[in-house]
Amino acid sequence: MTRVGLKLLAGKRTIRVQVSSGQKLSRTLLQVGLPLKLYCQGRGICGRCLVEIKSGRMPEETEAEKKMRLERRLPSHFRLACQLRLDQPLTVRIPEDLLLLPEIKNLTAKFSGQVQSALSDFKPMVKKYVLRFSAEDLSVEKRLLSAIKSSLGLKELASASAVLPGLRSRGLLTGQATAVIYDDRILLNLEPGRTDDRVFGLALDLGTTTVSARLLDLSNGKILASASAANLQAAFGADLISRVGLATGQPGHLKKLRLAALKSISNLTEVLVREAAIKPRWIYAVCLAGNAVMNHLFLNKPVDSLGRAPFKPVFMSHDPVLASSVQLRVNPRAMVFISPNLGGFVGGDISAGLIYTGLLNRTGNYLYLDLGTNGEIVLKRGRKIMVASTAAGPAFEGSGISCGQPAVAGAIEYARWSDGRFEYRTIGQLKPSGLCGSGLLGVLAGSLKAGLLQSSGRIAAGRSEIAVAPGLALSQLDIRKLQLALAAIKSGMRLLLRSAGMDWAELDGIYLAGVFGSSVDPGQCISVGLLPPLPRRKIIFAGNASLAGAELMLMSGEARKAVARLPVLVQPVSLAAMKDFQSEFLKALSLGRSYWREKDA
Amino acid sequence: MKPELNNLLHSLKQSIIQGQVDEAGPLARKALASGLEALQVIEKACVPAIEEVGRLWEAGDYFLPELIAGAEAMKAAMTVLQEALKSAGQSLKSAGRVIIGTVEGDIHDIGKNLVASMLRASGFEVIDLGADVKIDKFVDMAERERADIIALSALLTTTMLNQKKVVDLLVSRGLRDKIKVMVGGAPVTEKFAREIGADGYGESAVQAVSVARSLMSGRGGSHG
Repeated sequence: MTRVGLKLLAGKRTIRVQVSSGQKLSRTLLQVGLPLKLYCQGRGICGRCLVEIKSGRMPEETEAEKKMRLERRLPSHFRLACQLRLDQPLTVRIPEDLLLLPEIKNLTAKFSGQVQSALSDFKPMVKKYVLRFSAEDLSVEKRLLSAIKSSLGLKELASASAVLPGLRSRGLLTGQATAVIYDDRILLNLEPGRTDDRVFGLALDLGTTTVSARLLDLSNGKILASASAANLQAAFGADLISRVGLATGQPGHLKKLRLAALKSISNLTEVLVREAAIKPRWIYAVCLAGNAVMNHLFLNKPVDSLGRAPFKPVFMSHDPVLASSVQLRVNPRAMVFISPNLGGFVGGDISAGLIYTGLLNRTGNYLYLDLGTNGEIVLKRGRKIMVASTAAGPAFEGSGISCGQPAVAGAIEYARWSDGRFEYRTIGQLKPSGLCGSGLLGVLAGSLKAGLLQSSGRIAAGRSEIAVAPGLALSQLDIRKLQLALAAIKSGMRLLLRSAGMDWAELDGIYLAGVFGSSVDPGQCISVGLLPPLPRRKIIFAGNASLAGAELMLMSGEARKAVARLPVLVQPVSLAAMKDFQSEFLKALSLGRSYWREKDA
Repeated sequence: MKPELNNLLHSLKQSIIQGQVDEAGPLARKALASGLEALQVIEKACVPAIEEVGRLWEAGDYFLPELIAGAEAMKAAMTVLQEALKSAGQSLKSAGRVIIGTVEGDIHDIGKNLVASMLRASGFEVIDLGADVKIDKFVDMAERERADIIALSALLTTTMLNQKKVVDLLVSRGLRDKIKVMVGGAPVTEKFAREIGADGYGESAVQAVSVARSLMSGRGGSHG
């Protein structure tokens, strides 16, 4: 086979390669590490992968390319990367926004020698295709579907709910119209004219305390705006279980909680669409990541079984639903994808987070920890995935601690012992008003180092408290509460490792998601004993991994496929039912590194 | 008393306070072998030791591991001493008989286990029904075993309502004035205990002992 020389210009980079003659440009780009966002999966119909030939003899144009070029009145050196077959030496410029460079922070790159993109394909949940229709195509739904199916070359196509009856004037649709399609298999809507630049997605992390949202342009994968706000359900009870208690056997109360969550979401949506200067009805895709209680409430499912052992959810996976059926204030025909539950206390927030880290595709052994009110723990050992939850309590969210507060402006987010006193940094550089989780961890680490605190958790003789900043001190009772929270997580990790027949030293990495922001110091986590003493590069802070996971699922078909497989892959483990639960918990109450010294297995 | 005997009692007391589970039993045996009476050893070493453990807990010096180790060491010593009493045809007067368990729907039982250990260490006979225990099982067992007290643990706001159901079942079976009920667990408060008609509430395993004692002596339904 003959080889041809190629010069690729992408941003500031210039890459020269030899490729076998006849290969498609999109394939070559993938091989050299410049994967493209192939919106229509290389079928030559969306016309988005336009590249510019700078020099060289032009290969012959395909029908699809010609049609696209003429429609847009582009000069002949603009070609589709998914169609162009290479048979002559060429210099090609690749527009940078065509490249599949994930805007999602690439976590995996933090592991040395294992650079891997979290976004492995660009296949937005909902896509728009501009098509031409005859009056006949628009006569009945069935004809419409088959017309779209054949012009897009789709294997199957159904309507989510009949599209034609909802259209005011079919006359407007003859000629050019835009089809809105979910996952290349379900027709959501048909819009007159060309509207393919108006397709947006909403990623949602519906948390017990906080709701976070991010707006994305699904035509190119760009993040437009992010926002978060308190979950208005808090008015009915601060903790998850109290809300479950309220809704148990009381459909009226369930409805109230549901409406409060919807209100929180619609408030955020308003903020986001205003910031991005778009309209809510342009949002055609929503991906929801929430814990099991939250997604049950969202879908109007009873939560009674989530309030008592064995905490069985009504559903693990749920089919996507139309926005109108859950009263979301976006396009009523938008599709809502729900990240699946993995167990009663291991919900869609965790499945989304796991997808974000991409750890399912990696070889090796990993722990994923999500620290909030409950500590959820996932252990991946080879191909095996085990999940468990621990009742850590809200201490690391600052709740129940005399000087604690959530990670908001004024909170001490970092503290360390230096020269006989605590040095600290607050969020927003304000006067300290309290300590959030990472700050509390820093104080524990510093107090142990300074000898202010014994490993038993007893404040050293002669002191009644640990002073951190003016007016802020940890009492003995505060320390006890932190010990309980730490012990729940530590013993949970250890028991899960033990049930897999493993020792922590066999771990290739630990991902930490949830309350501890990037301000937490891995060294402090280790010296307090929260984490085993792994090399620091193996401890990765994933931040709000569930929102990032929801975002990834909006954009990647592989991510949606992977998350859908999770519920059958994971094995839930009930820690409380293990016979050494109590003894392990009691051991884990000790502070410092000693807990991890004792080896397992 | 000879100084060696005094030293021996002191060592036994210290071994319980410090939670040396492996030493408390042998020390109790040594005390008996040195000619001390079992009752004397219990009164002079064991009881003051477990009281000291409780005091250290209340003062914040001790936390759960120290508390449970103390209770375990006490149990080791008492097993030896009670055997001796039995073979001498004597027996220790029970402080009361308690049925204990975590209510239905709740699987966590560390707190309940701690209360059970402390009650045992303080001379109560404890029948532990475990976790996730059905409502009528508490009442059936209490009736069958002629228990003085039912102690109920609940860790979730959703399951603590089952504590009320036990009280209600006692009422409907006409047993309410025969059996006292004490409740505890993270979400449970003294106010809640009063509302559901329980007789006592303890915030910790140490408090639970004094609540149980006052229920046994007072029989007047004091709280806390």
